[in-house]
Amino acid sequence: MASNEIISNALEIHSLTVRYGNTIALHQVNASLKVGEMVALVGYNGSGKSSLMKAILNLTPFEGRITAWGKSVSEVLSKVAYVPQRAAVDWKYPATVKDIVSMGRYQPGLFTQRTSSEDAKAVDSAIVQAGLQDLQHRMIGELSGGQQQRVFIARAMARQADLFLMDEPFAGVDMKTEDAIFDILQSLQKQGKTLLIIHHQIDQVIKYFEQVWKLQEGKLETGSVEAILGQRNK
Amino acid sequence: MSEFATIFWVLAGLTLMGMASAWTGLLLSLKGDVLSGDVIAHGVLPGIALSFIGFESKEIYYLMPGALLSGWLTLEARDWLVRQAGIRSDTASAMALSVSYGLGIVGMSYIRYGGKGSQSGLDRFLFGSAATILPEEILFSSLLMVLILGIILFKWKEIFLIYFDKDWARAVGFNPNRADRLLTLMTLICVVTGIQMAGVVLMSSFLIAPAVVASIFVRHFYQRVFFVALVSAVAVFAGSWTSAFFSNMPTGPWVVVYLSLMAFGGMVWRRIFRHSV
Amino acid sequence: MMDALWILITACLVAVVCALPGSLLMLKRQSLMGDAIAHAALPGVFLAFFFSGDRSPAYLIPGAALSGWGAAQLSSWLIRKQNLGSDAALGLVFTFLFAVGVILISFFARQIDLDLDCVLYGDIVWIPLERFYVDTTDMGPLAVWILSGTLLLFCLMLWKGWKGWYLTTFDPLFAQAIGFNIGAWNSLLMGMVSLATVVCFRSVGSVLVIAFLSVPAATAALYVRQLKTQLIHACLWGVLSAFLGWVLALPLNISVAGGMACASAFCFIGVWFFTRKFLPSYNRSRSKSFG
Repeated sequence: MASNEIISNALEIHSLTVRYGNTIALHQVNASLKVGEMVALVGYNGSGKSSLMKAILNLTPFEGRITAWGKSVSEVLSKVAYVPQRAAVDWKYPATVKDIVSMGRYQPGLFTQRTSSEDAKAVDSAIVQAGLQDLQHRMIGELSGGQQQRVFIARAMARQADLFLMDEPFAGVDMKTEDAIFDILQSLQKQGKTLLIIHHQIDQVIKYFEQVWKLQEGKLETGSVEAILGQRNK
Repeated sequence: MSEFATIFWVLAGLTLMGMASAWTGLLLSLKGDVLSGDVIAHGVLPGIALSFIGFESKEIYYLMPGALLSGWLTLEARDWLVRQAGIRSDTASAMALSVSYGLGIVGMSYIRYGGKGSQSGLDRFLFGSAATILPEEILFSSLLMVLILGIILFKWKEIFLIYFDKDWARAVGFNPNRADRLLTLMTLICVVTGIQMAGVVLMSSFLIAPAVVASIFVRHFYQRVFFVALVSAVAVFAGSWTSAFFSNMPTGPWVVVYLSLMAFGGMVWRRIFRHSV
Repeated sequence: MMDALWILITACLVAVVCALPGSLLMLKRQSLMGDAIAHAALPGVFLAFFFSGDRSPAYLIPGAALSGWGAAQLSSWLIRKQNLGSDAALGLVFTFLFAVGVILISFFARQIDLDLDCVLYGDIVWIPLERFYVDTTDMGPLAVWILSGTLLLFCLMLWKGWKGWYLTTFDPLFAQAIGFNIGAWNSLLMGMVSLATVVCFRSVGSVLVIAFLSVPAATAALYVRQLKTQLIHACLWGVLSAFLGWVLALPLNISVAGGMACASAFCFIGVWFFTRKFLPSYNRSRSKSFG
């Protein structure tokens, strides 16, 4: 029974430690995400939010064990989708919205692959879900911040993954876009996807989320919004 | 061999070289590292000098491996300076290319004063001369160019993806370091074969200028792929024609002048017509 | 023997004349501007030869300095107004001007006595042969006089405009806010770099000027945190490299300029190793912050 429960977790983190030189960014972090959960990861700047996400994606060296559906993350990469920070890329890149969303379908391989009809369908449906139909042939440099963020989410959706890891999808977007993006996230959750979302504004987290992970000085607290953040804000 | 055949070979070699460099340069501009061509171009000098001292031959087959190796090492030295010594990349480029060039000059002066024979044939690598190249050398270069075209044909989608967002690419299982190495290899081949025709200094124009012209006129990467090839072919033809028309005129510099004029002209055109790209 | 000494003096002057503007360039993140200016001086050199008909520095220096300065202005226009990346802009400008120079030289190859080798390599060995005469009195090599004059001018400029250099280098926004004209200071620096390039290329060649602009400055920057110490230490490392290069080159019968460039690289690696081993906190504070 117990082993069954472990496998049903979309993400398991066991005693994760991340160091940069002599600095410890994360210390002995334990946490798990159930399938279909949507959790906000909060914490101050430098509390290790991005390090946690990068460790999950194997972008940074770490100690400890991280599993998704009971397997190591690198074995199930095709079921994991990542939405990086919008500021991390050069938006003057010569590509259209559709190009970027299509990138979600590319698989590593020796030669460039042709786009299959299945790929095309996934890309189109991701574009529709993110509400980018009217923008799909625009250059990405012409988009507003919120639209760029939606492009990133659509690229992740095109992978048809089951676990979404999003780094600050609400950074630098206005209230209306925030609602729109949250609608997208909620529809993903309704489809049974699991989401872990880094968020920097505590009041927004209280408004939108039920479950929260809070990082402070390399330590992680998990629980419901009320339990973790409630007292301080009341 | 007839004069016509010579002209044909030179033109064919130059065009292939120009197009391959233009494509490599376009990919470098995606990576945001267009000056790596310049670093490599200056960095091949010590390799050429050392190969000559070692093999005492001026044949391309003997000089090429040394040139490739030292160009690559110079680029690695730059990356080392950026990563390990915390030097900003522009200063690191300046340091790597000039010191490597200095090492090359030491080698050249050793050849000149040390009784190792004349360095005159080696100068061709520095200033480039398309006209004095032998057909079999052009054939050899062309084969390398075909190799580059093959790499581009099979790998461009992956490279396009990786240089948009390296972290994401790594997260979904691509290997950005491999793309870096592939692009470095392409740049190395382009520069080392191109240098014989264009010279050390002008080589970087073959890499940079077509991508700049394309960024002025067309916006999308797919369009740019065709446009850079067109720009570079036009410049090569115009340059060859000009150097054939005036006697005693080098081809490479004329190609560079045409490439630059296209870029400057395009910018002026864009400014006048307020064409926003 | 006297000639060898003159070569050493010339080499040291070259190192110092380059290290001063080189440090400022590096702090302003424009090291490659030196690269561009050094290559772009070629058409200016040609025009000066063409109009004066000889190697007289009276034409050569203003001609080449002007074309180098023009190249700097053109590339900064490309960067600011055309939204071009600085590396692409520089690459475009210097290859263009260099190509124009090569074309002009090959077109008038028969009329003028100038070959590309001399511009690209320089030849410090010939420096002592070109003398400076006042009323038929031999005052020593001409190049030494020119270099000393340039050095004096640089020192004067740095001394008189110290506050301006300091502020525009470290805090351009603040400098602008209190009324410094950043553009003017920048073009002044470009003028200095052009002048340094021109007075040095006869001795060490236009590419190695880049080495003396960048390497000693970077060596000092490995452990120095203040502008004044940065300038002084860059000069010292430059002089040391010049001396080592000279010591290395003369007995081995190789190019002095190339030897100097290699020696400066050795100095850099040595200092890097030293700071890493004995001043690790310096390196850590320089390395990229982790996110």
